[in-house]
Amino acid sequence: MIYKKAKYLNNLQDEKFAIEVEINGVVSQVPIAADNSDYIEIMSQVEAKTLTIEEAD
Amino acid sequence: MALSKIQSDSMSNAAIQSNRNLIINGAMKIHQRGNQVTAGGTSVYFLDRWNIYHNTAAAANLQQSTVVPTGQGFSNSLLVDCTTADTSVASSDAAVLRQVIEGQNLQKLAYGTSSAKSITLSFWVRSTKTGIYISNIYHADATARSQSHQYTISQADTWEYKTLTFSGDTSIAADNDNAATFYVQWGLMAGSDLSSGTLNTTWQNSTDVNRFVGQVNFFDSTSNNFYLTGVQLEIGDVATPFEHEDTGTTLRKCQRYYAKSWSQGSAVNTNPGVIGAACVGNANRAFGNVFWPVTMRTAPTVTWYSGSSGTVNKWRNASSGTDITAAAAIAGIGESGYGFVLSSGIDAITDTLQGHYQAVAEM
Repeated sequence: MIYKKAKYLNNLQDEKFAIEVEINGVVSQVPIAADNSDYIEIMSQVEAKTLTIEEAD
Repeated sequence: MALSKIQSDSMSNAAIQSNRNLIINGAMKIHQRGNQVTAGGTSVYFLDRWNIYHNTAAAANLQQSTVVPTGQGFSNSLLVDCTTADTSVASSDAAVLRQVIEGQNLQKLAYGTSSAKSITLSFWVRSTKTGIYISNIYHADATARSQSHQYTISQADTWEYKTLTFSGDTSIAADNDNAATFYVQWGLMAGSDLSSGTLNTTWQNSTDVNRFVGQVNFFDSTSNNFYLTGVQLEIGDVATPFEHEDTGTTLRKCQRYYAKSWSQGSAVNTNPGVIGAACVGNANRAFGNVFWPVTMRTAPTVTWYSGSSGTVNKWRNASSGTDITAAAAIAGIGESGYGFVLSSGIDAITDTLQGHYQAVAEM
């Protein structure tokens, strides 16, 4: 998968609930969940400094 | 009827053991995503639960086919149709068709104990490219393990039935969780990084060069097609007849990993229609819930689509005829569903709002 343009999304309590990100060109919402394979890969890329996540609007 | 009249010796053990297949959608009936194409360096799902890892200049269409072995009760097969050939296999090139299995579904194998059970993989395969192919099971828990076996496709474009038995692993247990433990794999191409050693026909700590030794290059011609169906992985040293399931049962198993709001006959983002609706509280504030068809493996990655235009990352205000900002969560995305809020593009409490979703919880 190719991940681009990552940005946190906040819920009604103004807490981060997901990362909005392009996955192979399709904008999706990746939950902040340790078992989600997209979340695992995104955080791996963040740690490797090949992807950054913007703060929520 | 008196019990003495039951002809127990005419019933095989297999006939009374249901749910023995560890593979989901082995008859290739469920195809929610629609046909796909390979993309270099990525992992692409196409038929439900079936995935191809692909790192080569070659390309393929990945499809559901109606070409099946005669007289076996199958309606569909999986098809890898080579569209761009790669005749010069680099060391890191690879193409592997696979299905991933959760560790908690493998506990009955008793791995890591002296009672570890053998398993047998059986399948129908047909390929334009004859020669030696490799099936590999990669055990991906903390200590990665691997076992491979070869099979030969003898005649081009002819269905052949194959069975391969993998011994039990008495050394390393399978984690009892919802993460990926087994990658059950069919090689299609393997560069020297995966094939320059000695084939690991017993369980050993995984060494990449030993996993696909001898694998033929399926991708050497655009004339090549690879079909697969009737895949079964079961406990024991002998393959039993394929366990045909009703479509609803297989679909529910698949929806643990992938769900969509479109009808099963419509691929995502085609033939848009109304599926979701929200209760409007006031201008720019509407709430609603979507419940996934079954509880998913984990909180899924969600993609929203306009309920009218099918545009990605949008909802639809049918009253104003415009696409509006996609839903966000009231709290969070769950394994069971998504409580959502729409916060813009809503003019009045009489507005009608429409959306579609795709939810993915693959490993």
